[in-house]
Amino acid sequence: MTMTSNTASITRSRLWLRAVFALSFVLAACGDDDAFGPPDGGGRRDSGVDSGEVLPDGGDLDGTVPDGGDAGPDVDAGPDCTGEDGCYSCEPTDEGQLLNACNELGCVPFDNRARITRLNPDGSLPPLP
Amino acid sequence: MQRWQRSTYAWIASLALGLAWSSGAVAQPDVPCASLPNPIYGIGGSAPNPLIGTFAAALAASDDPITVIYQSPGACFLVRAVADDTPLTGTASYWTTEGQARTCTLPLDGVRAEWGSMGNTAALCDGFDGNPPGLQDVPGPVTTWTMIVPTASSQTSISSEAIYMVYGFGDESGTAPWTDESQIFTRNPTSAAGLAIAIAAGLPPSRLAVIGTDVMTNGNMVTRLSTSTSPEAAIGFVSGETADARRDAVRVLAYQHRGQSCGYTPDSSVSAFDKINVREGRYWLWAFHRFFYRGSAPGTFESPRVQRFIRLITGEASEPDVPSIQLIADNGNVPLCAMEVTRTGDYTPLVPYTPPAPCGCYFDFATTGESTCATCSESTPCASGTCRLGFCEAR
Repeated sequence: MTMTSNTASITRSRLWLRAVFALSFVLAACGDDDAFGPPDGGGRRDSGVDSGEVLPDGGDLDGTVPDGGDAGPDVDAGPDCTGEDGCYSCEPTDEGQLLNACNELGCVPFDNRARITRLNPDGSLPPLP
Repeated sequence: MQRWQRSTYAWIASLALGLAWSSGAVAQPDVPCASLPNPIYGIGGSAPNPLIGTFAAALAASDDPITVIYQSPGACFLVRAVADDTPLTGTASYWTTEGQARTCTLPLDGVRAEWGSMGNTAALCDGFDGNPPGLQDVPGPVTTWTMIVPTASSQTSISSEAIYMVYGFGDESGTAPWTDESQIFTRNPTSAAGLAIAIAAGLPPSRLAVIGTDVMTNGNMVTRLSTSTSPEAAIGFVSGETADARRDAVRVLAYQHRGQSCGYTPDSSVSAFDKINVREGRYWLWAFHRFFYRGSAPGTFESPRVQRFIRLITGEASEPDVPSIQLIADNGNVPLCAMEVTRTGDYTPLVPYTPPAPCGCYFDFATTGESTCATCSESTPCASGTCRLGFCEAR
């Protein structure tokens, strides 16, 4: 399987990502890190990818890089730090940047919106029963 | 009875006993733990067992032998034993010089735990917000936690959000193909693996006791998954060391954390053991094997033997008979000196890390058989950087 890309959707996902990362940063700054609760199911969008149905060789695929990665919580990093496929291309300094740093290794996206049918309309996760 | 008859019967009896023993049909007789050379007594979780066994074997075979004795009832038992001053009783494991685990019998009136290990700090143990007085701890080698499926499954990745749905809702997860609770396998919420998965998913750990089947041990997890009659729907989690040892039976899923746009496995490929995505910060699901010891202050050890053991197993020291970095790599763990990221608490955010005495070049070589770094020795020094373990490291 090969991951595909779509410039328009990536742009949308970047905007979406930046908004969510900014929200996440604010929440983290408010000390919510240790609270258990639904992860932010809409925290990113794996737009332009094929729902992760790829070779079993999880890490040895086609040299693809994260599709919608962004600067993470450091939303002021600027466009200079956005790699070709939206990955973080500068020297990472925090977790969001590390997790989405550009690299030449293979990765396998999991498309939450396509794969999780019980997401809330806003993309968030439902509370536990 | 003639001498030849006695010797023949004895030989046959020995052979039968040996065969039965090797097949596991006969329990090995216990020996008193106190009779073993220079014992040090520890307690904690089961996840560090392979790492502890590796170092125990090397120390048992060293010129100045120590017998590492370990009881592994669960991650938080050490802090309770120290806080309540509860002695260790019953039986415990020790390791032969060949690395075989054996059982010994603790003294009837018990023995004081001198050290311990688990994959989390004491703050994650119920009823504790830190170490009890007189107990210190230090981070050791990195271990990974992995979401796994049978090799017969076609699945290759999972996200934090999907884990939340699968282990939070079971049959109602809405996350195909993991929608059959009978094929969702779990662990006790007090296990280090269970805690890690719950935290990664944003689930209260107690939820792991509600959904799925508790398989009790890492080994059972692999067995249950690999023998599943519905492999596409089957899912579970184990330590990375366990998964690495059973790649014939289970596949590690790429893990995509919250805020991450793609999933990664710990290694660069299914055949690699380089843990490159852990070391560089793209794989979130890892923790330090933490080692605990009795002492009045950090770095102050009550027992010199425990100090020697912990300095070796954490990679802080090395001996000719106990080459710590090599042993850590061989066991499937990552020494701190090969990490480029770290975290300051239990599953706190990753931050960049620069080890004071890096060993990444050597680690690459030990795990892949090659390194891009220049080699060096006393007679061929590095053109730049520092010669460590035969390779020119940046510092």
